[in-house]
Amino acid sequence: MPSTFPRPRAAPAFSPTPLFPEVRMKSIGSIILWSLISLLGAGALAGMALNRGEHINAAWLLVAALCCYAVGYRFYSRFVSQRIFALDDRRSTPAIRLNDGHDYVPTGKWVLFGHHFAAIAGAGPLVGPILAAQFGVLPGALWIIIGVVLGGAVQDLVILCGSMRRDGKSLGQLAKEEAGPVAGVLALIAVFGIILILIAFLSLVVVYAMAESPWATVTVLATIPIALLMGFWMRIIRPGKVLEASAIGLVLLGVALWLGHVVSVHPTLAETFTFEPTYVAWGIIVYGFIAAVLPVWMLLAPRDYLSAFVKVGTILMLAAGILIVLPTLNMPMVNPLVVGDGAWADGSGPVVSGQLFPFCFITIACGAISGFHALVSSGTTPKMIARESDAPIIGYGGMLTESLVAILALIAACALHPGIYYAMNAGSLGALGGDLVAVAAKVNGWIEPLNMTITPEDLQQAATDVEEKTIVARVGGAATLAVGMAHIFSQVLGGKALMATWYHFAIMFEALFILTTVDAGTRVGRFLLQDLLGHVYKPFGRLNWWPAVIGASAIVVLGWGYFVLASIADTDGGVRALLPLFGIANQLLATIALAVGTVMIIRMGKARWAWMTLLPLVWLATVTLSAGWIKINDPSPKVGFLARAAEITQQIEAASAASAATASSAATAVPAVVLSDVQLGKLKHLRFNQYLNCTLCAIFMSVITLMLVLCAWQSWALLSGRKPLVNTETSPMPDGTVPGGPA
Amino acid sequence: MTAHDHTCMHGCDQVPAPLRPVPTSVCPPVGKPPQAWWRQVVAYLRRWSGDDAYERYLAEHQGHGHELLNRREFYKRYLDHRAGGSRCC
Repeated sequence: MPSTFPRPRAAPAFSPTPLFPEVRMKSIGSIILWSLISLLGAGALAGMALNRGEHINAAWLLVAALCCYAVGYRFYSRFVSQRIFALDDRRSTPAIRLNDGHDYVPTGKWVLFGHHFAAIAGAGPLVGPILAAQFGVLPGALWIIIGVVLGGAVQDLVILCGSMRRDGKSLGQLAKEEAGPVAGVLALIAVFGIILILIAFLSLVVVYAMAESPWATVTVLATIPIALLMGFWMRIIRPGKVLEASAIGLVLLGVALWLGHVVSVHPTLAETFTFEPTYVAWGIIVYGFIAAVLPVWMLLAPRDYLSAFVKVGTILMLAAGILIVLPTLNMPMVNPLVVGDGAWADGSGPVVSGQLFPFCFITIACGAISGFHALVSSGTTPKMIARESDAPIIGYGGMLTESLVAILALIAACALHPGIYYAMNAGSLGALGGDLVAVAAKVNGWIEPLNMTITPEDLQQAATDVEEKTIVARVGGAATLAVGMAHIFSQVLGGKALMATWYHFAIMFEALFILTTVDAGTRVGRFLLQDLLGHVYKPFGRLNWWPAVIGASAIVVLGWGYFVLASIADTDGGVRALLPLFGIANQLLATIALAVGTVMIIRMGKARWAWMTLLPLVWLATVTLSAGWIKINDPSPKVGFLARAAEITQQIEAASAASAATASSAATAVPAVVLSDVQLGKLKHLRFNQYLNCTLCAIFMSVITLMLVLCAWQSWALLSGRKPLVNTETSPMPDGTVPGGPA
Repeated sequence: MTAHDHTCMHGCDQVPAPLRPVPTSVCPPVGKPPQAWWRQVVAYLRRWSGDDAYERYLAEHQGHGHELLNRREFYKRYLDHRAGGSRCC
């Protein structure tokens, strides 16, 4: 048979021992090496923790993170793999047994690692740590490092291995199988909820990065025709020439960056492409709808390629830049304002509303632990694993890599002057005082305890450096990361002359893959909705029936679009309201994944090792339920949804009373609280949104609670012997039997 | 056995035994194994992106007696299928 393949290599002999027989040291050299790595990591962490008010170098954080990751991967991933799953290459994976050339395809370890990483890493690990920098360097850094080693990476690995051993079943199917049909439905509701909130939050991030910025708007807009051209190139002009099309796309991105600059300095064009946040939001909503309806090859697939290349390339550049520059971290290790008697200890922080606990752990989800990863780990990846021993590097290692991205983002944010950080992220310009003098005065009130000050001229200079009108009130984290990256990159290449280009490059990089998430998320949401509604009206479930495609896409787009528009209408920019919802939704899914994983482990007869998922589960459930409870019930209007609604009600009543008084007595001086009908309508809308957020939060909490009860009941039934321990794995054992099945 | 332990996507090839050993290198790149580091990078990118997917398809399915997809038709299916997965935050 003619074949261009090399001759088959000799098949490996069956290993007489399991893959990871024991976690044991091979030699004295290995003991010394790993002891040194452990000591180095511990020393770096201790150095950060014991620091007394001095600005430390980013190297401390990098060393601490890298050492912890190395130790975590070397020991804990193997421990989890061996004790729970006893990974064994003699078992054939679904990719081998069910190979269909489409879903089930055996794929080399590093290629699959690339696929998996591209799927799990998005804006989350970049944005979350930046916003959580309000609490200081240490809380976010510790959560990212400890959270990923003991929680996030374990979740990814357990779900990946669990799905791999069960023919690549999805999280919903696993939940149904392990904890019953109600759990399966709850998982689906959680997935749909998180998709809507996820897209809404990420869209909001892009909106604030593009609003009032013609350079950013033009550059990001140009990515659409570039992606279309790539799509036609790969499909029609030069079928399958993916790398060629990607290279063309990357070159054109450079042209788009230049074009954005040309437009931004042109008086008429700059005006034409300067949009308020609401218009940008509508643009993204319309784009999301069109992208979800168009064939995949036309926009989504090429954008996915472009985004993946730019994402990985830029992250590598950022890592290299930080290693070269090794910036000093200007943020305090722990912000004195958020602890003890600090002014923000009650949760009134200007960037993230809520106390250090639990909101730091909600704000940083991706990078530490992210429920969304469970969808990828139980989606395409387990169907492509060629050998069981590949799972740790893909599941655990992939998550560690994302965590490193989060550390890089934290460094980029903390290297900024805290004054610039707060001016960019602490709500709208109106809330900050209206002009640069007022903004500087307000921000100085926050950073003086850190022995730092900022002037209006500094704020203006920061905007001038990146060729923007202003950098104030660029909430959402994307613009902050872009400024941080521009500072680092410009120190490596180009100096101040290239800072504006680097800034807009970073904005384009973020917008590119956020919009890819918007495309893909809307489409996944559409599939879920069609699947759900197909049970009610069968034709609606057909993926090629246009009324269903358009109808379901419109519902999904309007679902997340509403939250984007509502957030923009909020007086402080809406990030403070949407961010906790996003965090709670994401951690809700992680809670479900860990709960399902725990039942799975118990059912496998490995109850003594269930603590590996149980510990992060308990922590995450505590964090998520606490955050939800506080968001609903906190008496401070800056934190609690109901308190905010009550405050708005008071404003509405005061305004109505003032209007009535004005109408009844012309002699009375017009009080300041008199509002027009439009303003009154906006206030009522804002109040409605508080109730909506509150309801959504309550739904998320109910789903978590119900899921925990179901899983706890299942676990108790299994442990008490009321239910038999029947292993649900479908992968054959080396002796040809299927665990739990007939021998 | 061919270089791959895959079942033919058209179902005409051997059905793998459940316990067939997994090859040490799944789907090695087509042609001469690359030597230089940059060749390895290109090979990796081609594999990761699916740029070499059609060549692998031909190598795997030629000689099995069924009709093969042409390049255009192959990539029509490939690209539609590839971007269907979730993209995380």
